[in-house]
Amino acid sequence: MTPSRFACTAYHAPKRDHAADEYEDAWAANPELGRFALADGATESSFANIWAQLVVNAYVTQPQLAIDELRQQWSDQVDGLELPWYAEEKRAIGAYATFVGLHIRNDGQWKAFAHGDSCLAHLREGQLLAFFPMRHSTEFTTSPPLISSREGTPEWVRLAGHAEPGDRFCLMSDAMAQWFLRIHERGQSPDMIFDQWQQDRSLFQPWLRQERESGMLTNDDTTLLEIRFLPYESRESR
Amino acid sequence: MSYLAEISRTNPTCFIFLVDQSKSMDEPFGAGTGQSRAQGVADAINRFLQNLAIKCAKADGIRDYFHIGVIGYGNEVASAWGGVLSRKQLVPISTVANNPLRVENRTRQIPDGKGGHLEQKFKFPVWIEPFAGGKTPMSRALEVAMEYLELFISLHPFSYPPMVVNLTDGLPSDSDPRPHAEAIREMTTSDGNVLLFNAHLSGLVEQPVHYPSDESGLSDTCAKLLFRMSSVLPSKFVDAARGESFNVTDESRGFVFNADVTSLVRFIDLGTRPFVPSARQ
Repeated sequence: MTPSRFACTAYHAPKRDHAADEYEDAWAANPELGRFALADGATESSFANIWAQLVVNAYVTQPQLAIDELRQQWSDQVDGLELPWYAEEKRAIGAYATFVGLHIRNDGQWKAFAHGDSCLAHLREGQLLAFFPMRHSTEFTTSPPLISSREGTPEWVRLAGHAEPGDRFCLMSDAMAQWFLRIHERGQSPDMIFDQWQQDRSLFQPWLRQERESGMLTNDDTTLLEIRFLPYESRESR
Repeated sequence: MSYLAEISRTNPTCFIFLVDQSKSMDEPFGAGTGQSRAQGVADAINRFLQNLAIKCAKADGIRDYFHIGVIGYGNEVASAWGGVLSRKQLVPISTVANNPLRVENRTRQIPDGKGGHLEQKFKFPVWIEPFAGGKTPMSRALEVAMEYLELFISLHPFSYPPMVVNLTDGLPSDSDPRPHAEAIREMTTSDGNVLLFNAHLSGLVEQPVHYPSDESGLSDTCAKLLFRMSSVLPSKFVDAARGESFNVTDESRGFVFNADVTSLVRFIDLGTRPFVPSARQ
């Protein structure tokens, strides 16, 4: 079997003062297929974590996202539950999530698609080569486009490119993506910080506290799925 | 900068409703529904609370982002909660949501996606019953609201500023309410001044007015008075209102005339939200 050309690390935390089981971002990685995905369940919807996880799991294991099938799976998990009136009403509205997915082939060709404000960054030696679908830290709002577990057709934003060995990709939910852009807009590179976490993963939590306190990082579920495209001879797994 | 505090379970904010229960509330509401004004006000509060509870609902229950008080003014000025909440002042939203007087099964029309409509059943909780009797001691109600606010702010001095929503059909019977309204608007947390909103339910059959910037379009003396008593909407509310196609400006005030105030629920920022119209009747 051909060794995977991808090393993948996830850094994630729930919103401050929230329990781990209240975290509603979701991510999935399938290095064998070069498929990676991240979704962010909307705060003001319920069963959003289930919906977000269904979407990312489907993306990394299937060539096409069959949204209607995923909606049926979500419905199968939640629609039979006995709930109080308010949770019943909220369930009827459906769950919502933003999404970004990345597929990199072993030859370095990559394509990505997104809906909402979950973002992808492509970095080479500290230089930002691509960032999408958001473009500036001031563009983030509380009403991004969302994929509904009940209805609608997502309007995907797409991007493609080519990766060289050593390149880094970041899939990020909105708070992390906005922080990334803020740093970039100051003329700095988040790459160095990610390098530090790679050396010592325990640095992520103090960084999170500090950046939330300073206001640079919005208090929200925070997720970074970091993917490195390796030379053929290199194999890493974290 | 004001009105930026995060609303959370550890740093909740509060809503206080002032409900006109005077005798004149027995008269018809001008919106052409055939309802009495008392019924219109009760429906407005019940719908507001329903939407607020749904906003805070997650799969595992309600998150206590809000504490709620309801003060009735008519024969007396007192807490208007009923049932197990009777006589209580500020109540966490989870306690409110789990203790309605009853939950009615209602139906609403929803688009069927083919140009027609489907009937959808939904549950409508009732906390406040219509009541009409006595005069209109609005100024006293504003004073009682200040007592609630003093307590809440002392416990939550860093909270998103509390919001007071006054629903009435007419002029106060006790005294000029403007100094009391001003005193409420001058109360502060570290995040800004308390917000006072007014909803005027009139017998006049006129077009509803949402969040006007000046009083030139208001023909009624009482509507003008209530407009002057109302806070200017915070900029985030204005942005959210624009997003919902309300015709608002930076000077818009928290005042509606013969219109639903439930849209205020949607203007409050708790995090990423889908655009979903208010639960309808």
